[in-house]
Amino acid sequence: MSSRPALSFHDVARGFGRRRVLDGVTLDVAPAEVVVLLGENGAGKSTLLRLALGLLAPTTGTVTVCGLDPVRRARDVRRLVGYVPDRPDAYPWMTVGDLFRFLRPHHPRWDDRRGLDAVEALRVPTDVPLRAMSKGQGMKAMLAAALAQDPEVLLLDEPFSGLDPVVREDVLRGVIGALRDGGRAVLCATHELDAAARIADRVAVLAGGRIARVGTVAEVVGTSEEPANAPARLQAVLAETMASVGAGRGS
Amino acid sequence: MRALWTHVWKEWREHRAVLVGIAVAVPLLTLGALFLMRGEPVTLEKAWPVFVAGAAVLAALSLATELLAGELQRGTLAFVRRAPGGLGLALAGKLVAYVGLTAAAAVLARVAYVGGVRLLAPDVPVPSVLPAETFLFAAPVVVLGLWVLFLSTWIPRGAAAAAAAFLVLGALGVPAWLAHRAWPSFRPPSSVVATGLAFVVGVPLVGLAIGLLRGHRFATRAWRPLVVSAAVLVGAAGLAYGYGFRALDAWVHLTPYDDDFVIAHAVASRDGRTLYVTAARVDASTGERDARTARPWRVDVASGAWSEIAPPGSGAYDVLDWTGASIGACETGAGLVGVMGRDGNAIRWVDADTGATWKTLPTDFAPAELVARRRDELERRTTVRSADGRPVWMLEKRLEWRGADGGLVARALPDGVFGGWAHRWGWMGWRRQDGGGSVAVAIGVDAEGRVVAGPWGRAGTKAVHARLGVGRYLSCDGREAPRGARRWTTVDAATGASVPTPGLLPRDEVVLAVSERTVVVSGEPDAAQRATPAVVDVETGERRPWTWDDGTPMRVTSLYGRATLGDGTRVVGVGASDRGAGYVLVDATSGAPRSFTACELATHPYAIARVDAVGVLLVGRHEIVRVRWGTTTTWSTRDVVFPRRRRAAP
Repeated sequence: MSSRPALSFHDVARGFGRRRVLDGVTLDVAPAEVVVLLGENGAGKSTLLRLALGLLAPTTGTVTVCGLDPVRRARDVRRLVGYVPDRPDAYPWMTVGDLFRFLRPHHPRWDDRRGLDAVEALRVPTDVPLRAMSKGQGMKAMLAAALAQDPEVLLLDEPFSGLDPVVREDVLRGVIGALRDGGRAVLCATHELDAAARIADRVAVLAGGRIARVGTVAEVVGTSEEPANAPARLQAVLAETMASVGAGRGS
Repeated sequence: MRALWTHVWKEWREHRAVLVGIAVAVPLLTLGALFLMRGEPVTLEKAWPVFVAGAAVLAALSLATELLAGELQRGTLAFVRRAPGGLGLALAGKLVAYVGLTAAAAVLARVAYVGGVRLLAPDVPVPSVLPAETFLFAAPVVVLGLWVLFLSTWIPRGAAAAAAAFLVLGALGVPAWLAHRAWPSFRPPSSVVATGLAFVVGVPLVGLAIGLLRGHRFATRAWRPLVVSAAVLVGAAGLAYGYGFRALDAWVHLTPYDDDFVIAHAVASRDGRTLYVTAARVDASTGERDARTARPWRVDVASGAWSEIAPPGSGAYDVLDWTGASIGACETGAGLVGVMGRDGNAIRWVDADTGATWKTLPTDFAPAELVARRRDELERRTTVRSADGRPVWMLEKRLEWRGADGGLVARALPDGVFGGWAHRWGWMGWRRQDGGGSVAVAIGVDAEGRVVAGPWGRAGTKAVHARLGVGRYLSCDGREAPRGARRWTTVDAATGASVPTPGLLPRDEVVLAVSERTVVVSGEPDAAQRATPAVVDVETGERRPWTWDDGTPMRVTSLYGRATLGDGTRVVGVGASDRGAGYVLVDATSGAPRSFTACELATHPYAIARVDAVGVLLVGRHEIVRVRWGTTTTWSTRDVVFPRRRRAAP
């Protein structure tokens, strides 16, 4: 296994107008590691993912994906990265087949078999356009397309948000199944603490524009081993982190 | 490449409904229109470009308003932005789809037209199913759509972007329209046209690339690239118009070295050392001079150096041109030259010898001092003589001469007589008739100092050769009648009595007056429109062929303009003969031609100044030449006075 991180953020800052969303984020994701980003709405989780994909440029700091600058080497990075947005953003008229047809020529490592396996496993309708799918079905279609690319890095932006429990479980199983393939680094932003506890090798709490806490679930919640009520413990940690950040701002 | 075609497929798929609709509508509309026009085969044959352009407009505007603006409105740009090819490949796919589908619509219209014509009007010829012009007529529409795409990067609303494109193009076209209004005969050179085309096609492409690839590069919209693309538009427009207006400026400011430089007329100074040349550009399509480009130069005859003396739209004229009764001969140079500007409101009077401004006066204002100078000029330059040999001139509707004591004698024209244009030896005017209308009359001064105007009494007559020095003039009755129906008479200016002119035949045309009693006439033209000239003594009626010494006839088609060389023994006539345009040297006594020299001359040239006893300046279309003959020889030397070095810097 390479010692170079698959994904690296070093002292990254990014703002929108006067609002500074990220203010010195440093985080590495190793190959085959799953890191879950936790944080309140507006903490900058999606911003961090877009920086990794080169959809935004950092104000300061550096971002590398597999050793490449995602802004200057956008084409190469996007061939290595699978991205699942927080909502399906492909063309509404596209079916899964159309989606695969459009994406296939862009990705040299595209594997139709892998994609179709994911479609089947996630029970995605193949002859229905996206505009006729539910949000969950659309999310699963996007996940299948991301997996068909055979990416080295998988970025998931709130993949479970707004899904009913059945669909959420489908998506979660799909993610876990993808992780079993091994060798793939995953950075997942989510509010779903239960899912985070199930898939994360490490969790990173984003607050105040920085990584407030990072480590295994046990390390973050302060136990020697992962507790049984990890989601609840993570919730408490989040609340405590938000409070301390808020207090710091007030002082 | 596969990725590019995937983007093209994606555009087709996304706009499939509209495109299918266009594919159905174009043939139906075309056939419908052809059906309505089937009774007008001429219109049918010429109407196909309208169908092609119309189909192209339909496709281009449908696509251009949706390809980018629609994508921005629907928010699907984020999906293509994060694809490995990014927005660059997406843009390439959009452009390929746009151009290809618009061209396809044009082809469809053409094919539908051909099919419809063969079905509904088989007599209408259709030589080719798909001529190359099909794409030519669609090209402007494609370019228009590029501007819509470009402005979609500023305005992500299709209809608004289309409206903005029309406004921007309209605004960009305003300077060109204004320039065309001011200078309608200006034809931009090919380099200017190419620059304009490069601007119209290149700027939207560059602006589109900057606006989309930089302005929408990241998930957040950046305003700076849009400002940059606007700056590119303004900057490119400035450069293109700068180049174009530079060409216009060069065209407006005519120089003697320009290819379309044509001399309108020229005036020599009194001392013969200076020329005032007025020239203009010629519109290549019409052959007409563009008066707006005319301007006068002052030329030193000895050195050939020239300088502009007035801005474009001006001209320099002999002072006698304003007298209303010009001498009609220009062997003597002018003492005063008038320079009139484009608005024609004022004339700057210039001493022709020195070039110094004498006065600037309103055009229609002739104060006493100007009248005096005109009188001096007329008195010095008139070739008309009274019956007793005095110089006579016409000024302000009066005939004037010097009496025996040197005092000025002025006599009004007879009642009812008006006008007065000078032939070499007298004036012709008009006399009003009691019953209405007027007849031509000859005006002169008899030996007793009386102004006479020869009574006519017959309609359709015209005096063609005044000999008022001897109190007679030559009249051609039935002047407007065909040859063969004319009658030549010699009329006594005082009494009006007329007798047939000896020596002249009904089919003759007087082409050159060698002297008061010797004229050259052209006979009836042959099948090749060449006339056999003859020399006629109108006193004795002696007639002999106008031939060279070896007996070869001197064939002329027209002769216009003449001058007498200083020693009075020879006359120079200019015109056209079977040897081409040129000038002929004629013996003033016998009328026999001595030499002919081919030379490109202006339409109505005249010898404008005597250089000396054996030389003359001739005005050509593009140059002024000095011709000199030996005292006793007929061969001549010829050199160019102006411009000295054609197409070389002064």
